[in-house]
Amino acid sequence: MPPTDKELIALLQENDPLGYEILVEKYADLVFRAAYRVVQNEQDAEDIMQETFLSVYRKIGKFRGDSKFSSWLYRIASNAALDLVRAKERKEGKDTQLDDLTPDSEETFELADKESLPTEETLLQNESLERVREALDAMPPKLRAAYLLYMVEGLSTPKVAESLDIKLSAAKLRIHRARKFMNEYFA
Amino acid sequence: MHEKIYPQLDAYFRNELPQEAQIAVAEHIADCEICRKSLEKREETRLLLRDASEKPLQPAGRLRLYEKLNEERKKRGEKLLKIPVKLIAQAKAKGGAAAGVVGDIAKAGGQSASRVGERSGQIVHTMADGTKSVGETALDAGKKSAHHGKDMVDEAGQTMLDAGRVMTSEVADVISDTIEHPLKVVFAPARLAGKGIKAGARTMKGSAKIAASGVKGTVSVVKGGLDVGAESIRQSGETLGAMIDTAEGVLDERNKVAGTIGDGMQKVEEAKPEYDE
Repeated sequence: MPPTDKELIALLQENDPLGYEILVEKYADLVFRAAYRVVQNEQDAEDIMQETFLSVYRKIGKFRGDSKFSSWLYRIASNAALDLVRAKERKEGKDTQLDDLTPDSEETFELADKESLPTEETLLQNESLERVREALDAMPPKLRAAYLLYMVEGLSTPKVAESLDIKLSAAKLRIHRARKFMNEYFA
Repeated sequence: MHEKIYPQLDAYFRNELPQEAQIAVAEHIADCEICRKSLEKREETRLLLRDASEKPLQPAGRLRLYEKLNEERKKRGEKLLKIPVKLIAQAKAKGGAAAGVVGDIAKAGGQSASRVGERSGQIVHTMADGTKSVGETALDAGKKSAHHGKDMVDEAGQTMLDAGRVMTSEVADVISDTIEHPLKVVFAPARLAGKGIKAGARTMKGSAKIAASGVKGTVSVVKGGLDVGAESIRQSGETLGAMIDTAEGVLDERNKVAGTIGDGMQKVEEAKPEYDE
């Protein structure tokens, strides 16, 4: 029977190699996925995955278990991925202030009115995989990370906020903006 | 019941409802086709977004993660992680299969490029033949037109000459007759006018002949033009045919290469783990 996260954390904190072997087998896929969602590039996602596991190796002694272990891992990976995207954008001279601004009055109204946007089931029902891939690729990385946690992992907005280490209002705003982006893309 | 449950489907799909409500929705779904279909649609959309946004971690990537962690542990003199034999075998098999596939694709691509090159050469050849043939037809038509042009000029010259000659001779006869028979002077202008009308009629007849010759020449020129046009169309048709053949060939080659890539992906996907002795 595989160990629970609590048992795994104990093994890691004792620096037992078995703990790391279990960690890789249990969480490498999740971490790779979290990174890939943001960077949309296999090589960068692999680098971020390695960096995340090295972070665990260095910081596990400080993990107090205030949040779920998987959420902690997810947060390290997606933050590392967003850092990489920011660094790349800075290098290319792009504006990185994308989506953490206060919502304007129109957005506050739209956020309150859930019916203002058609659902993804309606929006994407006749779209090809390739077109959806292109749309996600064109979406700003911060929005994409929140949107896919919400839509694919099926996380609630508070869980999205926790996974990305952002405020609940920021999580809601990112998901809303991502949905708006998809609606405009497929309009 | 349906009106009460339907708005809760989203929360049910996200597993966010309290346990009791979650069970109530599940029971309703078993009997309600509308709700069941709605949930199926949500799942299809979720899978579409998942497939569009994810790539699986390859065995080689997982293997490199083990190696990276071991590199760090080695620096610190700590006990190394045991890398699963199965993972090494999978990574090795995929690597070998991928190398083989790259070779297959390169080979298929090279063969296709060669065949496409050959077909392109054929198009150039067909176009050269076509240009030559159209040129020859045009030259022939040009010669015919020049011939008819010459006929027309000759005809015009001859007609004018005849009309002039006849008229001069007839006018001379009238004048001579008038000298011999002075009484005829009274009728001479009318006779001269009559001769003039006759000469005019002859000239008209000659002009009609010139015109007929011109029409003949024009018909010949038009026919020549049509010959050139028809030859061009025939040759263009052949070139177009060769181009369509080549386009079909390129598509065929592309499909062959795509097939090789597809087969290769399948081979990589199905690569059996390789274990070292």
